[in-house]
Amino acid sequence: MSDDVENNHEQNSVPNDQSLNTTDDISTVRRRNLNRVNESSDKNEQPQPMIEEIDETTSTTTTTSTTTTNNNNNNKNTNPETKEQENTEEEKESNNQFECNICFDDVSEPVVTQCGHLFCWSCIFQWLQYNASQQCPVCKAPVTEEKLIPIYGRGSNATDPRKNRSIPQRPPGRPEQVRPNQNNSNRTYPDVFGANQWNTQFGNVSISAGFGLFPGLFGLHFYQQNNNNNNSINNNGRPQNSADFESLLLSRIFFAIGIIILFFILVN
Amino acid sequence: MATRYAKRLQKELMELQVSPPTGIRVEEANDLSRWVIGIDGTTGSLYQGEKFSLQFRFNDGYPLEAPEVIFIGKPPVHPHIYGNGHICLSILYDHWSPALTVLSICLSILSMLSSCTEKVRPVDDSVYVSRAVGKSPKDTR
Repeated sequence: MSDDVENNHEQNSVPNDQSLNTTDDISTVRRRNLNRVNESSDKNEQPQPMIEEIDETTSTTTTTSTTTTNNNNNNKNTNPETKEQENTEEEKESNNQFECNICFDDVSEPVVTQCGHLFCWSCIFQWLQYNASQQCPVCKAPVTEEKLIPIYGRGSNATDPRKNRSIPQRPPGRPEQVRPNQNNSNRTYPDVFGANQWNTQFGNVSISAGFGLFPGLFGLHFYQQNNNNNNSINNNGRPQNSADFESLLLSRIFFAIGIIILFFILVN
Repeated sequence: MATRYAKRLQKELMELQVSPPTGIRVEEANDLSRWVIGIDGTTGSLYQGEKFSLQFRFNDGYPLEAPEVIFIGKPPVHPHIYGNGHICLSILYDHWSPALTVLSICLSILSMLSSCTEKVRPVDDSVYVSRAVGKSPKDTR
């Protein structure tokens, strides 16, 4: 087949498989979705698994579905004896949201992509190995092995993932580090210093070099150390972080000006 | 097909048989590796009232690998469907994703038929058909 033809084809087919053009097709899909909505509204207590499907439908569908929901609520009130059956179905349905998008089975060793799609580690690993495009199978967003997030539920897996030699271990979780700002201030200035605002400032200024020459220009770092840990607002009424940032910026600007003046003095 | 994904195929088949959408039905699935799915031309389209049969072949790579899908019997006359039943549809080849299903392929093909404005064969049909004798559509692109 010629390249031209293929290009045309791709343009036509890239739009989602669900995007149907004729009214009949749309009504088909709508009917299917309505069925699903019916199922979910039967179970009433747990409509969450259905949210994705409902989102896919057009706005008209959503409006129709709300009316159906109401109808079903009425039905439910009149038929309490079917409740037990519904409950078992509800359990089945609620498991669906934890199915792998590749093997369609309950996830084993769950990992989630940055785009939020759930897979078995072995499934997504094989797909990333198999396919060079490195895209999420569901939404085509870029996916890399390093950026997958493992999900750890309560209790451990019964089978050892390392048993399968062809599939490496799931990547570890990467907890975010505690913010360095808080760490530093706690370590550098213990409560003894922090007790007095003036002391802290004095301690800071004494560190900076060239204090004697250009007191106003050279690195005059004045950190306003907050002695009360519970209080996140300092004496100026500003958040501590922005105050830190501002003083750092100011000291840098002054330092630069100082260098420039020094340069002119030396040149002249 | 003794792969660990046989379960997925079984699940897909079950869903198709239990609640098939209008215009799509399973005609033959004795063997999990070869299904025949019947599709009806949608009302209002150029193919209204016509019936077609799609043959799906799943190898051990499914769902990481796309199934081989061709029209059997009399293929529809369509600018993207060759006279030998081969279908030019990107999701069957380069743009396949394991999140796609038999159902979504059928819907895509129905959508492709429904959006057709002129019933013609592809421009290079005769060349392609003579070149593709006895070959899988996956090998003839």
